[in-house]
Amino acid sequence: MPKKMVRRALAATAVIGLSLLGSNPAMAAWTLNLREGVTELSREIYGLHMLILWVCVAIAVAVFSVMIYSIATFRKSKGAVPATFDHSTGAEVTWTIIPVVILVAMAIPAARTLVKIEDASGSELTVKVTGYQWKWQYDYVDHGVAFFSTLSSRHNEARQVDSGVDVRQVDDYLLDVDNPLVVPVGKKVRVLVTAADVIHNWWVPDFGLKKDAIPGYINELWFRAEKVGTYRGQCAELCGRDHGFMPVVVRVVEQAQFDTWIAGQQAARQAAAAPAAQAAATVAPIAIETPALRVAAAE
Amino acid sequence: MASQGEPGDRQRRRIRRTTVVLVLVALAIYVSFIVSSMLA
Amino acid sequence: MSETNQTHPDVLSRTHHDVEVAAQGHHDDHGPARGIARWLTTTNHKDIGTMYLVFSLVMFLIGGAMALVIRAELFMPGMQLVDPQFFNTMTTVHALIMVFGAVMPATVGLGNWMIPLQIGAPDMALPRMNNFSFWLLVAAFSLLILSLFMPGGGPAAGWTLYPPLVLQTGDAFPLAIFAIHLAGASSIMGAINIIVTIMNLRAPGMSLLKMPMFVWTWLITAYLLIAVMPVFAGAVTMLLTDHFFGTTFFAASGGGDPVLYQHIFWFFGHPEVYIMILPAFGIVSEIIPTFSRKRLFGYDAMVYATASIAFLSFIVWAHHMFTVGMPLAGEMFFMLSTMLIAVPTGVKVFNWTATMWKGSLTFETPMLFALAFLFLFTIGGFSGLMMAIAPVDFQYHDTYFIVAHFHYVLVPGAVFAIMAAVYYWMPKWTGHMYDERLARIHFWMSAIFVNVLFFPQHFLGLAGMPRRIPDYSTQFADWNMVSSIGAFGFGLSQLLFVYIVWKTARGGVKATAEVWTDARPQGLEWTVPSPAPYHTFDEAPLVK
Repeated sequence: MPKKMVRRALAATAVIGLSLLGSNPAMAAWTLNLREGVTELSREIYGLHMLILWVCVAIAVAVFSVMIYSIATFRKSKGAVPATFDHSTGAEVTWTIIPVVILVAMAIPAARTLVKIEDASGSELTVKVTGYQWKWQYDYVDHGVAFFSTLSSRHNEARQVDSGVDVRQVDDYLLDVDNPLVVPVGKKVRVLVTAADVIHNWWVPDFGLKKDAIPGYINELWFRAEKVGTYRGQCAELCGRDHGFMPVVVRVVEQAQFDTWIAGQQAARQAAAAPAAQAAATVAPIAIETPALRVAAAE
Repeated sequence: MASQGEPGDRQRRRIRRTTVVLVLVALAIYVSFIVSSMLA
Repeated sequence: MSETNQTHPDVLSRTHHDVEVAAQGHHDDHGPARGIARWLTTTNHKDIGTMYLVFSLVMFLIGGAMALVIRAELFMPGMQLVDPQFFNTMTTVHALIMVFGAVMPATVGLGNWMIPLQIGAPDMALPRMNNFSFWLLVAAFSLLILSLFMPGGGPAAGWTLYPPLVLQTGDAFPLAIFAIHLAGASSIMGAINIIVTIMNLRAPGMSLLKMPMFVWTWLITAYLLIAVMPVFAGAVTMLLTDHFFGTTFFAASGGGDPVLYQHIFWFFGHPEVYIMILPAFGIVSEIIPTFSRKRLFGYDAMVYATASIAFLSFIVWAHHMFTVGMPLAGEMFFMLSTMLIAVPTGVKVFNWTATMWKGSLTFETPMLFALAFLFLFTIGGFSGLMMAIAPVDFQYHDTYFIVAHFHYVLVPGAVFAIMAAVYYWMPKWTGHMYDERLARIHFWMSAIFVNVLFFPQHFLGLAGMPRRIPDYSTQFADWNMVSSIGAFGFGLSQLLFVYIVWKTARGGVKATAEVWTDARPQGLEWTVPSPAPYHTFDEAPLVK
């Protein structure tokens, strides 16, 4: 009976181990690992992640083999007679020192990356991101352009209880917005993160970073996307009922395309501001501009 | 050693003293965190 | 049920390892009161221990049912069952119940039962306060569960109760805060009782460094409790005054600081996780030597490692908040101090392994659970080490990777250790052996399903699934389904545990005083008969 149990335990361990190490490309949805992302930071973070993962796997193999060996060998049923030792200064010092050495070796590259992450100097574009329950506001502070970004209405209908929609048929379910953030490729973008009501968290996994959006605080993160494309993330701090339904979508485009887009946004803003200024100068501009910007963003 | 079923007077005093100290420590921590948050 | 304190022949017929039983056989004891009054008014550590354990089991089932609501909603993408707000209530109250209602009371129950037996004391030092702290806990959780039915729904801001979100809670808010105050007061009283007992009522000859590891870990845990439960009480008091009395401790609009709350909360919260795991360490340190038939390897090192872990727990709190925008120096400090915890924790794992080395192992259910603890807690330790690396934590933070990590250390960690303790000591409590065949089925079902449940959550987190969301992108569908299947399997297995406990309490093969006769377990608890008489150690035993 015990022998059978060990065999079963070993088999289970092997299955888990294999599923951890070898991903099957045929089943793409069964994602196992962190993605490398599209920024220098995200790749460094991925590298650190893999390094610490393999360090842990190596230690695990060593420690678990000793445990499994003990369980398999030193059995009363096999006539094992217990030894009487109950300490060994040499062994205890060894397994205190070795982890310290491994940790120091880990800490050095980690600290180096940390310093790089916290250095947002020399940015070429600044975007202020404000979290609301439950949407994001993007403010291009140098261009005077600002708009809200909310979950696409089609997704919003699909996610209602008993919507009758098969969400598997909805592309990028819950990860699509009406107005994505648009940034130029290859430029250092500084993101200032804050919130208007409760704490949110702005996160794009492909950029490697997330940052809390806190009322009264302006936090900072930066990224330099190296590839044109659309990158999707989510709010990562519980912010109330619809926390799961305020995605982050960033479109990374060529500089020329970005320039055209931002000029269009500015024109739309002026067009909308003129009649609005006549009507009531005190009305919050954002609220009025949003519909016009939606049209513009749809291109 | 005296029977422990009825702790002796000395032991009783020691138990009371330890208890009072621990209660005071807990209260002091509670109050000091609130007061220092007020000052922060 | 009335028992008199008889000395079991087994005890006198041989000399115990290093324990000599001094005169026992005090025959004029009164037994417990009859009926319900016994349980309401009892000051007996064994009765109170039993009540704590039963209470914790009930809470475990209620909290588990909430977890199943969560996993049922997450079985498939799309919203099928519950409103998102109710989903948030479930994650919040599941955590509060499991932390403060299931794991902590279970360890308090074990402490109540076993500490006096292990140190040769007749009872806890403060028996009436013991009764009071138990019933406060019942009041606390009645309030918390009542808060679910308030207008506006139950608390839904996460168990961490971060402001400003938590201030949006409806009428449940004051109830939940008051529940936490009561539970906290109960814990503090329990901790004071344990410290006072251990410091004053040890049997003659039992110096601190002769105490069983379970007593040691509980002593350190009790100090942690006294140090940090008042901090948590302070934090929720300030939430209360912010909500009702116009203060702005945590409101940026009034000059307050929402991040201050997080610092205070985690100054409590990090030691809190050790409050849940240290007694588990103690349990495992009792069980592995017994079934290895060998003394615990490096007892002194184990004590010092436990103390270092407790100390370090006070200087690592901000690793829960790497993303709040701390200064670089802060991130660096908390990253390094957190990594340091791996050293004493490693010492413990290595020492348990060395205890088994060249032992003579048997695999009764308590040992099986202890071994599962050893493997699976270590996996949780590895993911913890990964999360300590601040730059990488920017990816892991608030994802299912975190959920996987803390469930690995709390379920196959703390909960498995508690179950191991129940199987290990239940024959001492009831006088009956449990059904070994059923217990093994319970073990294997639990051990397999807990991995099916939580291992895929590592993948989900790495793939980018945030925690605390009721619905998710379809790319996360596959592993969520696997995880939910594991959850229902694990949940159902626990009904078997309830049945085994119930069956053992009612009858079964009679246990000897030593219970694990063949393994010759060490400790004073094995010198009293099984079931342990209502009153034990009226005359102090002598420890050599």
